[in-house]
Amino acid sequence: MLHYFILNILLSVFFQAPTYDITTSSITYTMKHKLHTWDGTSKQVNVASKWNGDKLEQISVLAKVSSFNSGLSSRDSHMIEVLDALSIPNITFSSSSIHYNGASIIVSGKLQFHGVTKDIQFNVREKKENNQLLYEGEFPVLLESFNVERPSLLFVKTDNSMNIKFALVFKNK
Amino acid sequence: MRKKLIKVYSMIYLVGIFMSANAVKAQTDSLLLQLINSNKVDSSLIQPPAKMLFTQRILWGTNGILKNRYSGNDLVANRQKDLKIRRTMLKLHQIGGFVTLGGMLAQGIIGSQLYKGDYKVKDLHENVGMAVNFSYGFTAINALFSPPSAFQRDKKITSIRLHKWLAVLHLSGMIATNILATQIEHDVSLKPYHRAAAYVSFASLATALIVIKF
Repeated sequence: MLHYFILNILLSVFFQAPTYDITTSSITYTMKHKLHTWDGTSKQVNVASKWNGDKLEQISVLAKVSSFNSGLSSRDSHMIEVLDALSIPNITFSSSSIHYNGASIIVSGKLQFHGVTKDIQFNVREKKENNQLLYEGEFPVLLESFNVERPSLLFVKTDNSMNIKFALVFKNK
Repeated sequence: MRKKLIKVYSMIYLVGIFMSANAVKAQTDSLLLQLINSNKVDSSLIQPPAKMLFTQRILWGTNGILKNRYSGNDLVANRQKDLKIRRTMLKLHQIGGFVTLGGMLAQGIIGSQLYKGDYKVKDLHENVGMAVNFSYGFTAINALFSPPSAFQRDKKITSIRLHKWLAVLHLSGMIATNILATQIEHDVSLKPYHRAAAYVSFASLATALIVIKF
């Protein structure tokens, strides 16, 4: 009987079912131009996660370029053009490692943007509130390193660096 | 009997655990597969938006003259080409806007000389007027006949909407300025109205350029 009990405990530790479901999520980019700065937000983010109790073990995120709304249709249409969203519609991230360091988490993984895949690493802040886990973080993306031709307005190009912010909320099942 | 029950319970528990573990794997695998294979384009992006200017509809609407003229039935390639043409036309629109504004400024200086009685500049005033009309027309054509954008989802007052409202104002001003210019030879008292219409055109065009940055 004892060896069944030990086996059960071990299996419970190694094969835990997902304990959290995504509830709300958003990704926001911030771009800068000599004349102004603007944000575009997507709230249609697909997330799949693997959990070990309260700890996130793996996460994959997918957002469509067309789902980002900056509040100006012509600007969003311009982004569709420069990101070739008709042939490369998705932006994806898939984690390769997640290290917990108190409330801070270091996430490494592959970002696929404009059809170019690069390894990235960034810090994530974790907050626990009312049966919910909130993950927030940000990282920069250099447009030209992903072969993106920087959009221009009045013949002046935007900054090469674009900031990506995200907020993912998971609810306890 | 008790041992048997424990065994049965354990087996059920094990099967449950493995099933849930497989569910996790299936979930992540499913998304990863989606990440790799989900290159389906949002169909709303391929079709032009329902709302567009009638000038755009003539060329790029569902039954437009230039609709799907490039890559046969490849709708994605066609729309990509449309958007490239749009970008080129909007760049020309921007260049044309600055050239026109510069021309208007020059015309304002020449016009003020004419108003002061320096009639030597009359021919120059007319020639610059013609050039301004030409560059204004070129600028307008590149906006009015460009392929429509991928989205038409703005509900609030945006900089582009202000830009378009101001376009109505400076277009009206341009038409009025030109009509009054032809009437001045018969009725000199129309001069102040001609000048006022020209100032309105200049001011609204300059404002239309400025609002784009916000």
